[in-house]
Amino acid sequence: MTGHHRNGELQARVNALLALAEERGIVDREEIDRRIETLDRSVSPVNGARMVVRAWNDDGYRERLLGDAGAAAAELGVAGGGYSSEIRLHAVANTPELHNVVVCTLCSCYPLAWLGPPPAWYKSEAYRSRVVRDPRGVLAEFGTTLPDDVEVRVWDASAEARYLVVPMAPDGVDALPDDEQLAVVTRDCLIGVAVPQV
Amino acid sequence: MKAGDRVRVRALNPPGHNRAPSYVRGRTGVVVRPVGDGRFPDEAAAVGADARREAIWTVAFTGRELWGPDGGARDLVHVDLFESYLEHP
Repeated sequence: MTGHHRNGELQARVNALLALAEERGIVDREEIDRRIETLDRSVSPVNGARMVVRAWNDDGYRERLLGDAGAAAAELGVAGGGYSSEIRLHAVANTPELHNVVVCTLCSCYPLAWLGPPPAWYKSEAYRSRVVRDPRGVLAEFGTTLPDDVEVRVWDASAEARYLVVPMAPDGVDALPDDEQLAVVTRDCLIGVAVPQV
Repeated sequence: MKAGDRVRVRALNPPGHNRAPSYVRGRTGVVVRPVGDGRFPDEAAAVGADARREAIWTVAFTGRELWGPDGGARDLVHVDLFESYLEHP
């Protein structure tokens, strides 16, 4: 994920490797298609939004989410996609005193199995290199200006954990019906570059 | 190793694969939580599934420790690191 892909060349290489792996019985093309379909059908940032909204409305769920996010996801039927049993989800909560934001500086690790594929900017060298160095500056560019006394916690997912930000419930959100509460928890809120707006 | 320990990331520059981001090498932080364990990537890159398993720790570094006086005074960067990347200073 470093630099600019020459997509044609990359695709040709992927195809050659795939053909070889298939020929040798290492992968099964139908299984790959099945997994892509599962990803398209069942995995999106709405999963994360459901977890957050439930946590806003249910203190017990919030506690379980912050203790074991993978289990809390499963509780809502968000299975995690089954890509690798090694990957563990961890939820980090914003408070009036601290704000969390997620990055993968080495590549593009992202809670894909729970939230779907990451946005293109998440994989860019600009975001990956700058958010650890100047998180407040980067957040301000996303329109999220934090007071100076708020602590910023950046989570660099470089090993087996994936991070999900649990934003604070905005004022007035409890007056909204569930589907409208879900809509305020955007993908960018779950990454931590935005905060929910009512 | 346990949560609360002060640890330093070893100055690693192996010829092969390595999963310690260069910006934390040689820097000191505090262990925040255990992540569990995983296949040691330096070895897994060479031998795959037979690689040994190793504990992973989330380590918090201050902005000042990583970037000097230009780093944010109220910024913390958390990085997940395999135990053998770490040493007690």
